[in-house]
Amino acid sequence: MDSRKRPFSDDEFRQFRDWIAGRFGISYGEQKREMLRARLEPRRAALGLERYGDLLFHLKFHPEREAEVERLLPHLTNNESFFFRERRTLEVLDREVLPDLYRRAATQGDRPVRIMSAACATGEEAYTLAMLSRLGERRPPVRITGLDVDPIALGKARTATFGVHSLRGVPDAERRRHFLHEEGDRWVVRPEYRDGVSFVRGNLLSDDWVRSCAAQDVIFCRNVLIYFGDTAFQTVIDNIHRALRPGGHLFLGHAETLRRLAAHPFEVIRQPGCVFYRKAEGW
Amino acid sequence: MASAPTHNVRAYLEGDVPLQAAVADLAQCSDADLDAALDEVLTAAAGRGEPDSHRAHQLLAALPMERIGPRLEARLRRDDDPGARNAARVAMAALVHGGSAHLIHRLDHLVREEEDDDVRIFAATVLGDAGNPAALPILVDALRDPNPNVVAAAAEALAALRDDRALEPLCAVLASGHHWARLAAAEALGALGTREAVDPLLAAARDPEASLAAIPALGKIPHPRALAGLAELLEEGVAAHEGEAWRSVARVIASVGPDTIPDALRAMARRSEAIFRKWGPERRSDTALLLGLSGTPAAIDTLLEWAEDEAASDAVAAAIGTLPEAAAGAILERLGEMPDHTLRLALGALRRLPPDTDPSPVLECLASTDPEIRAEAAELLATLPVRVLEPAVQRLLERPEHRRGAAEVLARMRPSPHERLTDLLLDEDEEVRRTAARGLRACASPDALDSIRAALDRETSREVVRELLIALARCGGEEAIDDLGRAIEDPDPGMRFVAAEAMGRSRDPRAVAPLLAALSDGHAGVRAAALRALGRLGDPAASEPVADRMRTEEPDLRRVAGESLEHLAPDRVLDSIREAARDPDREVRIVAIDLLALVGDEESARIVTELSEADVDPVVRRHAREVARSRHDG
Repeated sequence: MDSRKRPFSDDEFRQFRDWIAGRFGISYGEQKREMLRARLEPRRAALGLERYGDLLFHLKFHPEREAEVERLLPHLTNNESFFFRERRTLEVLDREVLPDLYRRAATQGDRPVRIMSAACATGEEAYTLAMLSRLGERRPPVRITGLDVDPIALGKARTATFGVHSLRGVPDAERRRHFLHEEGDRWVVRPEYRDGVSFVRGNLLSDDWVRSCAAQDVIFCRNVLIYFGDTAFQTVIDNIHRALRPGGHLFLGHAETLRRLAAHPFEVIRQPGCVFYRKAEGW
Repeated sequence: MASAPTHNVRAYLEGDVPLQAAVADLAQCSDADLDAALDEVLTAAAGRGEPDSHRAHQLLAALPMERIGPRLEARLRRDDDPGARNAARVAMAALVHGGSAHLIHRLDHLVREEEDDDVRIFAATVLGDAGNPAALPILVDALRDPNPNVVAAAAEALAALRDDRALEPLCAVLASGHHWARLAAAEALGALGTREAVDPLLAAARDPEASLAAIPALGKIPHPRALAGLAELLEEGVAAHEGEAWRSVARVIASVGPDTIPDALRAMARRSEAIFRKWGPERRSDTALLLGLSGTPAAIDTLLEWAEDEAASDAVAAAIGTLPEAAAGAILERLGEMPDHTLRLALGALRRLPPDTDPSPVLECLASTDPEIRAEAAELLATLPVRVLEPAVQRLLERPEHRRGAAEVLARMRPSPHERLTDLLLDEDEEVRRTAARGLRACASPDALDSIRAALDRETSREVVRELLIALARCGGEEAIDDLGRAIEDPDPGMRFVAAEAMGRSRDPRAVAPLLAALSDGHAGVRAAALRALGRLGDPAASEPVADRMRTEEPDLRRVAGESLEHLAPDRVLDSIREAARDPDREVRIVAIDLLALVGDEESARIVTELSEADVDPVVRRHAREVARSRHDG
């Protein structure tokens, strides 16, 4: 064959875009048409299908389509993350939010403080939160939950093993404190920071995870909502609101905001370099 | 609020009483109480996504427009209360979207007759927000308003409607309107995104007054003509907006792909590389594409540096796809350094290997443990001439770590090396056998038939059996149909699905009867596969059973049925097709439009025309117009 490029027709692009938006809430505009085609290409080639339309048919109708959906999903999302990303936000959490949470938890029979890393991908943020919450003196127990829809990413997260690229935001001294170094330039999260971190599968667009997880004191949902269209964005925020305990806090990515919504039920808290949100006590 | 006469309104918004109770309260209350209640309802309606917002919209839709319409209008005039004004705007847009003829009429009046410029602007904006095609003529008329701000609002509203009947009127504004209105018209034409907007935008891009908006608008048109036009502009020199022009080039390439890049554009990109490098990290996607376009050694080095960052994978892959063919060699040499995520995309982005390329780096990818990387590498290698490829692949078959990848290459070679593939049906590795079976789909040679049937007899892996069934169907013959007939009754729905698909590829009329039976399968996927297969076989006798499935509950199945009918006898099932033209699912309506065009009678043409003007979905309207135009031109 002269060229292996497969055409990606208007109909195929539109139908894939609608299916992805409906299924995952991820939005692909016209400017991302080639990007979408490139992201679908590995599965098309692996299945030996002639057209992208055949791939969509497979995803919608094959009796084992869910397995194929799971294989496709990592291609549709950017799973890039690294430890201690956006330090300013983490500082605010550590200095402004966590002390109060620990005090409250102590007055409530030392109940666990629950923090969630929503859309946790391969777990860098979840483990970062674990490291943060264990700095300093003893605390009430802390439970970190990493939530993601991608089972392959969750599998990697559970290994707690990372390449040097994920640690590019971690100075050497911190690196030695939090990680064990392995051959091949791999770094493993120390056991004391893995305790109390669990990973669960869930789709932010569904409320299944809201029902199955305990009420959270803090939810981090950073740098994922940018992929969502307006309706999906609203659904995710509604779910997060329900998953938070009254008085619970929500942290988004530093370039993200709830201003996209005409109205939302959170109190906005502004700190230098960081805006975050709190669910009212009366909810 | 919550005065006694309207206490049910609050209770309804909170979900405590039914809609009728709130409607009854508002029907009976005084004007003053109605105004107070309406404020609260509108505030709730503006809270998008909240439960009470949905209820508020339902309540508004249930109220007599004669009573609340003037009140909504009055709030559009509330300069002192932007919140009330915006809430009224949201409510009116929802009501117009829902088809409130009264409100459309009122907004028409406001746009044409209202003295207050701001109210005319708001009325135009509401019509755009509502997305109702009935607003089109009103907004087109508003393009002639003496106030350029109103014209600009109308242009923005037309962009929101995405109706390309607005093309000509917008082009007229672009050509000769007020400066402010021209900018809005240019943006609106970009939002329409049709090829016909390119030349008017190019003319405007040469006009200093309009170029600021026209050049970015060109970047929104996913058509090679836009790319060619931008190349012309850059050649002529658009110094003031050169960066913006290059950004538009990147955007168009991101939409249409790299196949239509003019050579002149590449040469200019090489000269302009310094411009791209000044852009910050937030423009990395654009920068990467343009570096790929330039294809200089320095550009390639930068791209490969970025390739180490997984977050840049898409940008780097797109850039690799944009590279001139001669530069692909530099990428090939560095394949071994790329992380898997980028490697997968890079292999997918390279369109072919020139015959004199050393394929060794790609051959090495065949040893990857990642099946997608092996598949992509195989796809790329298959672009080489067989005389170059075959000896290399033969050597790789003898290396255990390369064997799977080598099988992938054989499966993609054309003509299909069926003897080698049938040998691999005996391999101890299931994945090799599966790949070989898949490769035999392209074979369709009776010579392979015996080997395939023998493999079916001994094969224990259901995955491999499924592939063999498809290969069997391509080879054809009575025994093949018998085998498939048994498989389509297998307890495993996956096997039935594959059997149905395979029968569709068999081109054997004896497959029609079992496929018709499979239309009643308990698994929706099997029914879908059977529908599609019947379309592929093309027997007109299947038309009615297939058309019946255009009434199933599942919209995807209705669409598949419609697509199959395109290959059958749609003229025999006109009633079903006309019904499908009113389907709530837009994809079904789109397929129905295609079927009506195939039938081609007067009534069908009338329905297509009606959809082109009145369908609520702009995509359907556009499709219907294109179909009607083709019919007219043809």
